[in-house]
Amino acid sequence: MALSDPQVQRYSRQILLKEVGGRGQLRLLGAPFEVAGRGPELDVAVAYLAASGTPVRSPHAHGGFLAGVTLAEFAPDADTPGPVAGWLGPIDELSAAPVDLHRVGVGQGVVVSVRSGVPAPPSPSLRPQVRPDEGLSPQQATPSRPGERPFNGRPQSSERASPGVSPGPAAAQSLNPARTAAPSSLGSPGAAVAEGLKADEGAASTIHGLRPGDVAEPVSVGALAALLAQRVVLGLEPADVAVTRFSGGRWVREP
Amino acid sequence: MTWVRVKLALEALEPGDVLEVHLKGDEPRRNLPRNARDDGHQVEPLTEHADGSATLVITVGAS
Repeated sequence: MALSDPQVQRYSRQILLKEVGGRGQLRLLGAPFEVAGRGPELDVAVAYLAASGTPVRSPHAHGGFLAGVTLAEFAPDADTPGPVAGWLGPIDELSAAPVDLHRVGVGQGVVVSVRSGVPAPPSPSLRPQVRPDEGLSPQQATPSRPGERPFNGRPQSSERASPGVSPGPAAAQSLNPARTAAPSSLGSPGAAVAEGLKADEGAASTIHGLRPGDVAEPVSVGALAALLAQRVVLGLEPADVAVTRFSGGRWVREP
Repeated sequence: MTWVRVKLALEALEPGDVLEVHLKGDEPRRNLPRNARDDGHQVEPLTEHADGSATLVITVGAS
């Protein structure tokens, strides 16, 4: 089986990679994934997988963060080979019970399971507490300190701001997403763990991501989970050895 | 895209097989021989033709 012309066009950048090539791309296209879990790391993992051409679907529900909408443009072509024709399935209520890895794994190639260790922080808390219809006065748009750029969800122009006028602490707080985010919602100190395990049955391999309560780390966990899964599919990573731990801001490969 | 298609064609061949590529334009002339060498293939010097095209002969390397 060969890549179709649209597939060659679409995945040309991956095909150029020495580790992928045409054969690798065919493997990615033909290795359907099932994903289960919740949280932004799942969105990231699924986005990476689907964008690489891998058919992805979720047998489970997903609460709140499912990438079904955002993934539409990344969804693999309908003629993608494999038993899974689409991408994420219907959104049901996510079961809190552990994913039945054997069930989703058998005969499905690699299974990616991303589990949350802590509740997901509500998205609005990560955004500045300024409604879109609230205009910012030039004073509010002024950086509170030299070099500090307030964030209000749209590009800022230093030329528009009135120099030399500093907002009060409350204004600065409302414009700075880092300060606006409630510490309690981001307060997980835990390390993220992404590990790959070989399931007892079939060719399944699972990758778990224990999500820390942070914004950037879930992205890392999701990207790593997708990367590891792809490397397993490409034969660059043993299916039963893929243990990676996030600690202190660094990914460390377990011996 | 030229190199992508040539790369796919090379992948379908066995080591020692020969692929003849007809090129037009400056960019493939510059990039293709280099990319093929970087991928471990043996590349013959370009053969220029009167119509402005060129022929590149690539022997598939062991990869």
